[in-house]
Amino acid sequence: MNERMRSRYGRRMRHRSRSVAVSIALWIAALPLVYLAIESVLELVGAPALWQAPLQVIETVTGAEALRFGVAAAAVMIGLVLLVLAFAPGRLGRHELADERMLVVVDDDVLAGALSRAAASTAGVERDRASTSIGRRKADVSLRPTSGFAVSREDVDRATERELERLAVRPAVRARSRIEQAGVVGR
Amino acid sequence: MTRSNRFLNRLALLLLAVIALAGAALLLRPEIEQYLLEPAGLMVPSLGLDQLGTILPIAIIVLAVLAVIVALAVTLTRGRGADGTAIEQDAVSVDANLIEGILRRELDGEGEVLHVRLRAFGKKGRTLLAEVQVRRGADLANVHRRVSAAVATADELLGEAPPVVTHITTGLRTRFAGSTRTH
Repeated sequence: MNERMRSRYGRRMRHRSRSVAVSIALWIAALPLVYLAIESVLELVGAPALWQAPLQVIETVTGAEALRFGVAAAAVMIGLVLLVLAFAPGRLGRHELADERMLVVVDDDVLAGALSRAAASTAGVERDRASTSIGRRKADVSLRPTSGFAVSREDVDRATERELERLAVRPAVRARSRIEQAGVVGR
Repeated sequence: MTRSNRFLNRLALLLLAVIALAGAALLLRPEIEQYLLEPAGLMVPSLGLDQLGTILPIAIIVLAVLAVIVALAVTLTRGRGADGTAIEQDAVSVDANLIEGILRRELDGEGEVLHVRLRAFGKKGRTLLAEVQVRRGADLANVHRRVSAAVATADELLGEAPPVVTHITTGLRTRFAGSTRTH
């Protein structure tokens, strides 16, 4: 896999596609037009309208103050949501792992699990006593120690950093650990 | 991962946003004229919809047909790209299931891997997307090493090394599998 392909696929895998949003937005735009088109056909063939003739529909919407403001507010809301969707980066919670042969993309919850595992193993506690939240460039590891057994924060930091180095995560992530004050009885 | 053009998706969303905001501006035209345009000495001519007569229904029908065609075309063509042919060379084609089988066999016994699925993408030079579902709290470095070894075995058996994207993920199986393997 060449660098160009790796970069392209890496970007596609780490960012959300807006295909579903585009399809939904197009149908939202098309449905009122379809209704007006049906009314238009009925008007052209001289059949009674389902509700009102197209021009009357427009006059009704623009004539009633509350209805006009309501429809305008809905259109503004839809417009703003679509603008955000068009311009937001749409990052997915994923990172890449260095690999010469292939592109490896890992979900952040899997990465978080690996860091929790490393932290818990260093602290000598069960895995479910460590939790990790991953951002784009940092990971916060939280650990509940066993009551009566001191856990070195530096050791946990070293273990998680070592794990991140071993995995060669991209974009690079820095881990920071926090040992909770309240411990738990038992392992 | 699909072949959908991501830039076109964003462009379509931007266009639809502009249309929605323009529609809102038309509905709020009296207020916009009163508070923004008139103080600035600007006047906008009336749309004169009532003077359009029979052109308006025909214009609406044409617009609606176009909107439905575009919506149908976009909906039906999104998400395409994946199929079952992993490698196509001269008269020989290799099914993605075969490579998926090789990966599964190689990862069989690796307790932290729950499921492997492989699909092929792209018109020219097929790219393989291997989705590897793992247990909660899996040893990621070990999973990565095992998947790399499995892909190397597949390369050896196939006699070539197609581009591979490996996605290490979780899913429903992860939710029900628990964090450790039990025998």
